[in-house]
Amino acid sequence: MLVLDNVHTYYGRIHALKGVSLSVERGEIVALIGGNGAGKTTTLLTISGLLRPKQGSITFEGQALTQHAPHQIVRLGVVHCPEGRQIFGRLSVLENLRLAAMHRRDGQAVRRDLERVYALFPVLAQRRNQAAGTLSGGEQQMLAIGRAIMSQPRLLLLDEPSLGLAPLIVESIFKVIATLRDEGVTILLVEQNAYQALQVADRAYVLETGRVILQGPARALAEDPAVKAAYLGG
Amino acid sequence: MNHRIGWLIAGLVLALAGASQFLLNDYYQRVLSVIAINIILAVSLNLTNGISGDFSLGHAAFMAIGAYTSAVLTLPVRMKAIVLPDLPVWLGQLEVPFVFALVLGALLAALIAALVGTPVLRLRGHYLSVATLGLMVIVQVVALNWQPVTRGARGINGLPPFTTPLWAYGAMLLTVGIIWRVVHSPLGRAMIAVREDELGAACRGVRVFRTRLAAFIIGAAFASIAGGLWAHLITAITPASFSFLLTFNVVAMVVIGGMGSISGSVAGAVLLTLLPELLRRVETSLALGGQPLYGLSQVVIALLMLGVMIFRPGGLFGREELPAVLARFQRRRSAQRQAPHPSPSS
Amino acid sequence: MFTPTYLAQQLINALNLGSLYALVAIGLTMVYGILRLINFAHGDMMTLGAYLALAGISALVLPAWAALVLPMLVIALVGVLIERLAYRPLRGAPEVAMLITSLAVSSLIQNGATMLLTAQPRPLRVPSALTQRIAFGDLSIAVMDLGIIALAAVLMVALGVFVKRTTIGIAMRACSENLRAAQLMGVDVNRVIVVAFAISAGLAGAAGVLWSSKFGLVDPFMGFVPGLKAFVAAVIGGIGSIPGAMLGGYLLGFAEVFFVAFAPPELSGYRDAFVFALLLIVLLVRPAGLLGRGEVNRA
Repeated sequence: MLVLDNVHTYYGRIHALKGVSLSVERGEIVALIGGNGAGKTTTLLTISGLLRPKQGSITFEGQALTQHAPHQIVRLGVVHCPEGRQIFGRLSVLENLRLAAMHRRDGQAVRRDLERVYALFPVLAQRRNQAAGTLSGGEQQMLAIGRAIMSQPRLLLLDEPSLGLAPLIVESIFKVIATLRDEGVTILLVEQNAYQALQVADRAYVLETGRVILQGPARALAEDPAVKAAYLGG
Repeated sequence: MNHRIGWLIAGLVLALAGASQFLLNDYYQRVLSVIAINIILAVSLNLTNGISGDFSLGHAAFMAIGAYTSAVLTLPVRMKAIVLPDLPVWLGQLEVPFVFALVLGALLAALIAALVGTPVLRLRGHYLSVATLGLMVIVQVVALNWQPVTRGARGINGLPPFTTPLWAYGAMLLTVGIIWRVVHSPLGRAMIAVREDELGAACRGVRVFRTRLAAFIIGAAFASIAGGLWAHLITAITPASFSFLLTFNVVAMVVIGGMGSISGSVAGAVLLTLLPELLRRVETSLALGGQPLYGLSQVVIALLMLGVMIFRPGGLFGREELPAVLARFQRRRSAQRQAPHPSPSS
Repeated sequence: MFTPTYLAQQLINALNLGSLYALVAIGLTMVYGILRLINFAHGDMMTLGAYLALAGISALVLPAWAALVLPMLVIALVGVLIERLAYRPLRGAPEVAMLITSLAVSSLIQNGATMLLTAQPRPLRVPSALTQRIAFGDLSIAVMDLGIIALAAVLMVALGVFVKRTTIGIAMRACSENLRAAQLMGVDVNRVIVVAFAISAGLAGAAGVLWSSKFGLVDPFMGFVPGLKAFVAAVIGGIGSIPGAMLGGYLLGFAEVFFVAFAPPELSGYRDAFVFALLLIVLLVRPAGLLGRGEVNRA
């Protein structure tokens, strides 16, 4: 479904991705794990078009994503739910959700998706007219995922959905991720919480300083001594 | 630049400026002097806009301060009684030599720059642009209304014509020399560090606010000197002389020359002084429906600036100085000679 | 000497001037919010609007409403054109590049108009129905003054509804809050920017028509200082905030009119200096403005 081949990306003068190759198949959850500055977020930003690779190719269902502007990439069905949530704090909850569906022309389906988001996160329905900036951290993360759902993803890029959240909320967020997969959404998941990520993922890649150093089935990686030592706290 | 070459060039320029006073007619002497004054303006504006990275639009204000200060201080007492009868007594009795008038104007401009810069430079960079433009309006309004000192809209005329090419080029060499030294001193390196990465500079112990303020103050002082020279070249000043147009043209010199390059500012100043002189003939001779095309040269400058921003954002020289630009040019030429079919990747 | 009639008269004047500043400030703040561009050419949209109204009334003999609406539409297009030709090629360049470009565009418009139309101010004669005065007791108010206040209010309410209710309005607010995140939500940023420039220039064009109708003169440089003052208004209200720009516009109108009305007469010539001194004070005391948020330190 998604194939990255030898992607090199620069952040100004910093060579952030040094030839990343990976692939995601339809219906999978693929996790991208690694330490700070390994290039996880850069990989997602390069896929969603906010950063442009200097070299290499990114194809989604045969289409070269590097030819498209970020908003066109969303229209193709690649939806990026960014790190740090980045909800629009001055917009209401409903406006945040409507914005994410702005490019869609199927009014019926949009309404259905809105109901689905409200069903997944009832608290958002309660606060639909409240400024999003007044939500708690966990609610903001729910809004961020709800917003991504409103963009009708076929491939969802999730960046650190558990960052800074209480364990109970992390639990429920991961439950929603599993639900989405069951509904047919393919997911590329970036996590520092490698344990959680490997629990839910089918396969995983380990990034270090802009390179893929390990890859394989999530279960196998979770047993890998090197991964255990580096990312699972022994 | 090599020290000895610097002195040699300075001596040569001064000798030529001196000689021009005997060899050239008034018009050419005046154009030469205007070039030198514009170099002072551009090089001093470059200190903030190019080197320390704060985009000031207040140069006309500081120039006006210098012009009026120098005019009021140097006007002969006899003439003051007629032209500015309502001047405070102590000012009315005062007549100081040109050099002192220029220095006092520079100090006054520096003081005002410090007063304005202190609040504004604490903010994001582009607030400075608007605030300094506001300062320009304030200075203009004061010049327009402070009748006893400025004579309001009528302005002050009949100033002694002190400014000769020798004066102008002397002051210009002094300005370029001092600013060159500043830029290549620890203070100048701090300014560049602040421009490149303010946070990083602060982490390495650069006092960011003071560095930016220093650039602003030094630039203002030299703008004031240019204003004084200009007043005594034209011999008449009005508030309208120090309008946005003037600021814009100095900004254009710096941008077209290359923000951050001293020699670029010099080149920009020379270019943008000569261009309107040449176009002035076109303005009056090329007429549309019997109307002279006043404004043509400004239109050309504006288009030039738009072109530079889109196609060559670094201006003529980028951030490099002339020797480096020449060296690169020479390298490219010799490289071309060795490889007659240069690869497109170069 | 400060009779109630005099006060009421000043109130009307202040509302008038404030309405015009607000119309101009909205456009500045909208574009700044999205692009971080201080658009120095914004005031010149006023000038162009005024010239179009002049041409419409004197050459084409348009009715008054058409002489307002037509310039608005044309100037909106001009704004879009300028964005496309001058600002879009600089997307991603340092902020200062766009600022310099807007200075050049401003100079181009001012001097282009001088070149083609001369710097001579031209009189703009509005239909006599608009200059008639209505008496309210001792107070007499020109129809036009009421018209300006009402029209500006209508335009601002319409803009408020647009920004609040339509998807593109929501997208616009989202972009001004977080441009990158808006792109990730599938917002076509270029489309939003085009709409922002169209509205911004259109409102400035309308303000230019009203301004020149009120003061009766059109010249190539007329928009520059009002444009700068509108920026002061936007800063007072909190730059980036549309309600802030409206509030700032009215506040500045009041400050300016009441300064002239109540300060000693020998100081009234200092009115523009007062406005910019106000800017310096606001920057010193509350740089985020009345309704603005943060963004004090350099990034």
